[in-house]
Amino acid sequence: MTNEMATRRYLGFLVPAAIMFIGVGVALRLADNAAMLPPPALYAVSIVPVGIMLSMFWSHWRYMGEIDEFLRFIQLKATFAGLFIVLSIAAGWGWLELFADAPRLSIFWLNPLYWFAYSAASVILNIRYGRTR
Amino acid sequence: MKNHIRQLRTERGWSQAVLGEKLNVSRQSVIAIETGRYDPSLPLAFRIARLFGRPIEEIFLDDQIDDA
Repeated sequence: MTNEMATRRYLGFLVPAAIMFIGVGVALRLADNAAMLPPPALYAVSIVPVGIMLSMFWSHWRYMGEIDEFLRFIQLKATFAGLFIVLSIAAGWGWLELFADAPRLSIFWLNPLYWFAYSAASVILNIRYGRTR
Repeated sequence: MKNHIRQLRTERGWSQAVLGEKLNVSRQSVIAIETGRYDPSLPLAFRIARLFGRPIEEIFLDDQIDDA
């Protein structure tokens, strides 16, 4: 499989999955607000976005195995950057919540924050190493 | 790690994309290796050496030997 094919397959899976993740999240919020589902059912349906999220990470794992060593090097760095940013924000904001009465940050936002940070790092690294001009 | 890949490539009239195809890597991999921003793995270094018909030591410059 060429790098281009692997990238197309990866994005072809990731983008629809991300849209589904957002859509399911919005639907769950609306259902909860409208009291359409009893709490046990809400717990069960909440597993759906988790499944979508796991599939997104699985597709990234597969992508990392299909690209060449240098692109894998870029992806590893971008993944690490995403984790670094998310964990720093989670830890830092946690301290603020504990000691500075900062408003509570839902951990729900850590997943989209990771993907945003990873994407930004991926673009920056690709520019730095000469992929995008 | 400095190397002579760009010189060897241009001597043969190959573009970076063509070299990437011959090595089964991306064009950006070739760019990164040529500019010394990325050091290839041993299997890839051997493929490069075989492609150009030169020993690895002639293609990749050992910085420690240069400094000595």
